[in-house]
Amino acid sequence: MDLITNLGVGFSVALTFQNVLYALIGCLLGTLIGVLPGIGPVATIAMLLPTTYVLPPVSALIMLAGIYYGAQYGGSTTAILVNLPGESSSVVTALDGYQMARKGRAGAALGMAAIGSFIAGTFSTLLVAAFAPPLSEAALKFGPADYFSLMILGLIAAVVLAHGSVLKAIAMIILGIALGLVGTDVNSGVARYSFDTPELTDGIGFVAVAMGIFGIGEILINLERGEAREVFTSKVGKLLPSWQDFKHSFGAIARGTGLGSLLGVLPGGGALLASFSSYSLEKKLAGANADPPFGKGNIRGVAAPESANNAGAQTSFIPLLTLGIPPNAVMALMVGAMTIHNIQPGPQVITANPQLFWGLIASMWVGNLMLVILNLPLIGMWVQLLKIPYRLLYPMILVFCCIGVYTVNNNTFDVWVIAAFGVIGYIFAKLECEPAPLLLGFILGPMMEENLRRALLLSRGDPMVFLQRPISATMLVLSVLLLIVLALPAIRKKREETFVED
Amino acid sequence: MNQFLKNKDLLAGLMFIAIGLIFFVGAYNYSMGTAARMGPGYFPRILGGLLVFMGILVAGVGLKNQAKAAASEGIGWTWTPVVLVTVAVILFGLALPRLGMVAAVIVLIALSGFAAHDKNYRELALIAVAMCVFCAAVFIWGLNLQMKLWPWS
Repeated sequence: MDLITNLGVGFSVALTFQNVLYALIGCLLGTLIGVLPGIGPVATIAMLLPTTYVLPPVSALIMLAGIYYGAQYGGSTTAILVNLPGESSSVVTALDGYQMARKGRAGAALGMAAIGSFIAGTFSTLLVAAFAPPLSEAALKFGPADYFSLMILGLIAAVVLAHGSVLKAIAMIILGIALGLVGTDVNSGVARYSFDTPELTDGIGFVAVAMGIFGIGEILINLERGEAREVFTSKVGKLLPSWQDFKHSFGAIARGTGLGSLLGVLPGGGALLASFSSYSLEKKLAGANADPPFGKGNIRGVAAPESANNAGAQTSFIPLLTLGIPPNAVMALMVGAMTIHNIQPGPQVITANPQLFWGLIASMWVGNLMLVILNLPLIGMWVQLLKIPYRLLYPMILVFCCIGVYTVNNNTFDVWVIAAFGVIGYIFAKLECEPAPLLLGFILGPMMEENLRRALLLSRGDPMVFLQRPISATMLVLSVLLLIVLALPAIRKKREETFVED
Repeated sequence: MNQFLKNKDLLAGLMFIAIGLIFFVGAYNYSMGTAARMGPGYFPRILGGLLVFMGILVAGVGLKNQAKAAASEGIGWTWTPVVLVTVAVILFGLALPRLGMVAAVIVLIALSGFAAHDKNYRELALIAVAMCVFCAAVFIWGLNLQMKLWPWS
């Protein structure tokens, strides 16, 4: 069995002392920021990217991945205990989880969330391991036209699955691609949109964009809202759910894992969409006479979304590792992390860097195991952390952002870029423009231009090439179908409902 | 006029149109080339045009819902924290290479700390000291990043 030998290679990498240590650091940091509202995985990974220069590439990626799925665990803890989802992907967990906590069953909810997450994590790790190699092989047959169409499909799917206005999301993607143009054009050497600023000829650093919008912009919005955080300190209770709870949740965990794995692969998907959809599915399946009703502390309402968000977080690595195309903002940062270490993300990673590829996959399972073992006993400590008021937290986040971005190039200009994007992020938030699609466009933009250029060069300028190649044509047809479906009034209404659960 | 300033979609649309125009017009500085041999101006011009188009659609939706927007409480910009934090970050960037990390961190925390509703000066001083020690330990001594610690070092 190839799968077993490959996973063997992976575990031999992931289980070295150093890599276990970095997985642990990543998981702990992830849980920490998952618990703390007001700072998410995107900003954290952006902050830590520069410090990963000093690490070997595998360790760096293992740590950053740990932050992402660790955040899913941490987010559920606060959602259940204080009705305050630390991460957006845990919003629905708060609905039933907090009600369980109020009935004195916080422990069971937390335990079930952790167990569900672990089962989902295990299953989706296997899924990544099984599907990544054949997909990478298929991806090697992709020509430039196919890649271009695939990115179009990816970006459109990201819009469909994003929440908020579709038109604005499309505009934000285009804006992101446009911002990605700034800097020297690789083909002609012309410095585009650099306004005679030498620093801009290298382009705008995506770390700075991500940190500015998701780190500083987020702080500005939080400062405006002021603080409304109450810590609900009740007894956590017994952590192990009862046999009855298990029997109740087993189906929910299985469905959450399946749905989450599927949605994680889709562009724009990942943890957030996975948890929302699986909660809706579970609620629908349970029907009106669920006991207790959904929203009143039904354990299935905790088990399903928590399994789903973890599965989704895991499988969103599939498009990144096989196609080199990031499906969400966190994965876009992982692209950056790989390029920092001179690894070109794409189908060749698996053959060129098998140690890295399988090591990263194996580390996901190791990390999930750590999270279950570590988090449950540490819950008391995480709750204590919640008592840190935001007025103490945000100056620290600012310091880390500023030092982090400065060290990328030892450059004052980069610090100014995050200041500017902080303000831009604030304006976006006030105008209800979702920033995640912008970051996705920003990362994909240069790749899109390059592939468009190559495809048209090969076809001698004939745009029909995008329809003549079967793979490319399929992608484009799918994109158009998505847009049509999106325009249907019934779907539009449904989509609004799904995201207005909070 | 004031009524239109409450309209988020309209403002967002205008923003997209303005940025799209910058890219579209700016693309004329670079050669277009042909589809088969694209110059550096080809892709930017398409993008700029698309952005303007999307901006018009977004603004249009905004205008359609103008009545609803006019009845809302408005967007509610609060610029004080924005200005404080932004100036703090800009000064940090200036201070770090010249005055070293300690001074830069103190400036950043002192200025940005004013932005909180419930600021507490003693706490801020404590954080500033703690962050200086932590960052020196981790970034300068631990990770060996190239940064001055003091103005004279």
